[in-house]
Amino acid sequence: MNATTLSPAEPRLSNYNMAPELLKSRAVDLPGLTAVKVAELFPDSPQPIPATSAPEVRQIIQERTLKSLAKLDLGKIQPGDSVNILASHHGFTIQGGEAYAEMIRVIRDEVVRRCNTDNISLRAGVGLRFRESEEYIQKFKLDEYFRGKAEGIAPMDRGLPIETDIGTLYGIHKAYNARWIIHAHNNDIRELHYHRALGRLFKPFAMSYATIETRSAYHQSMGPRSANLIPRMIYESKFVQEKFVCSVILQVSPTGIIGVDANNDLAAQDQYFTRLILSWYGKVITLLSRIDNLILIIDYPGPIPYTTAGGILFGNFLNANVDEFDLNVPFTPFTRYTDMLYPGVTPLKQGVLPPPNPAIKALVINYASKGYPSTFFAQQLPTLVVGAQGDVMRACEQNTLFMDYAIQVEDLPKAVNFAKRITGVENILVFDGAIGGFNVSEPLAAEINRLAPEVAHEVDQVLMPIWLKQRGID
Amino acid sequence: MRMVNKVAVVDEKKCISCAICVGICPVEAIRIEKRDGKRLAVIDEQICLDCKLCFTRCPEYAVTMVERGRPIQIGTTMVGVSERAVARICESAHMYPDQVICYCHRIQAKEIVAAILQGAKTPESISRATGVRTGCSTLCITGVIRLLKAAGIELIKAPGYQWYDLKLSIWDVSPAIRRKYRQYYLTEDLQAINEVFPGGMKIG
Repeated sequence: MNATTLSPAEPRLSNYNMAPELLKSRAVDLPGLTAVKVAELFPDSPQPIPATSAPEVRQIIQERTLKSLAKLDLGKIQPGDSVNILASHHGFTIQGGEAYAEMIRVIRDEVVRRCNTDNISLRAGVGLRFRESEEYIQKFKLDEYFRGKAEGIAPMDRGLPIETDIGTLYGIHKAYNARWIIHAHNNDIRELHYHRALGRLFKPFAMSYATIETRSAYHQSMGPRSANLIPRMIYESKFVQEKFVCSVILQVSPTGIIGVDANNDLAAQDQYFTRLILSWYGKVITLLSRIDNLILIIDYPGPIPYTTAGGILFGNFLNANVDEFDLNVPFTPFTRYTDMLYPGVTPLKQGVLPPPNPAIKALVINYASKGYPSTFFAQQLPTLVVGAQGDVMRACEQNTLFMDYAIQVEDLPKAVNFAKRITGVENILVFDGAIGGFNVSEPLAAEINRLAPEVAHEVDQVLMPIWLKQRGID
Repeated sequence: MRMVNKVAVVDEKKCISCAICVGICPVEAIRIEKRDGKRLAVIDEQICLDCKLCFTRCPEYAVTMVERGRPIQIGTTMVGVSERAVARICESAHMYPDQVICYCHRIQAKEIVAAILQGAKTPESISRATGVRTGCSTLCITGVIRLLKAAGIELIKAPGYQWYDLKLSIWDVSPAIRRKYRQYYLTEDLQAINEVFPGGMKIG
């Protein structure tokens, strides 16, 4: 790492990652890397909270959460009532999780103080790593904070039927086993390929808080845009509306954590955040979509498509050759609706599905979590897996064929040199958890800086009006 | 065909016979038995397919995954299965026979239909035959349900914590809902899905 690069995310001690001591080197240590910072590329970007240490983060988030909750009506909650604060694993991955954990603590304390009840539980949902939230509950000592009432919940746990306008859907019993629920989430762009900025804040109602049937229907039986009706229908169901108190959102942007926003009306809050998401993330993703060729290095303790830098995901870049914000685009390069059409390297239906971003000439995986079906990526991209990470992939029950399509290389420099040799490409982009920007090779940094002003103009003047109109926002 | 190298083992001292593992096992490999006066979860190692659900959901951390003495092979043979019957059921479910249903083990629709034609009548028996739902155990269940229904098999409440009677798909959404929630591109998605997947219906 040199003075001009951004710090990568620290290795994480987890059942889903290799032991930190097995991670021999980081991408940021490769020669010739530098950083591009979102705030410099787009000067109108929001300012992140001014915190450099965990105690500062906690203090600022505490203040912002209290301020945001102060304007809310919590009058539904009567003394002694039971309340479930519903959380998702992903919030704990944002910049190490301190901010999200603190937001949750403050919500609890405010409900205790204002509503005269301490019968408050934390229910933290997961993606496809079913103990992940338990790990965060332990890390942030939330079980102690919640007096033994903090628990991770998973999609195969006991479910309950929820009647909606589109039929019976299923939630996790423990998510809803209180008189009231509070939705504690974030507005991170995350899986744009799934949510398409079409109800981003609703999504956990069909994921973190839902059982396998509902999650599967979202991914296999609706459509690449219309699946987002499912969480909306669950939220609008009589069952959920009778329990719903408010939504509290950790506000994030490509520059970092911005603050906290709370609202009694999730639909109104979602519309407010949709505009922000389109503006903030639209510029960054559109900018990166203009890069012609690069070697992409994954070096982050998260599942492959969820590895992050500059506030966006590898999955966002993989799909960046189409405009995923444009709702007139039905199929994007990767969703489960396209994955199911690839029994091998070519799709069953030719000429319909856009390929993964052709700018990615090679994928080097130095560090990532197990626990997300990812064979598609190795099938579609020349993939090199570094050292012990290969063993992580081989041991993953959700990626039993991944290494059939990838090669294992002893160390990161050798993998990158080999990737350069077989592709003839020198550009490097790293997804390593860098906050507020990206670690890239120096010539690529120059290209990104050159492209940024025209992209900002195009997004503001041309694309934003289209994206907003498609979502019925003035 | 996939080799299964590990098997779940219960630590009898830690097991509290809560039966959560019984309720979530996708291949019904676990039952509660009385042994030496104590009720315990017992795993049939001939059935366990190393999905690790019991390992990851046991509240007492009583399950470990250990190497099998001899790996077992899992998968469905297409030998003797009518290709026409497979194609007919897949089309009825709006699927290609080669379509991937299980993203973890890359199990295809035709393998699931083969299991159905060979006698599997529930998601659990299909999982035992094919290995579907033994990876993430989450994303593929509606594909299995749709194929069972297309084969004329109706499902009721599952034996465990799940329900399985989900009726929702893009083809089931009423025109009234499509009109009411235009912003979710339901009509456009129905059209796009029908253009890509076989057996599509005309928009009503």
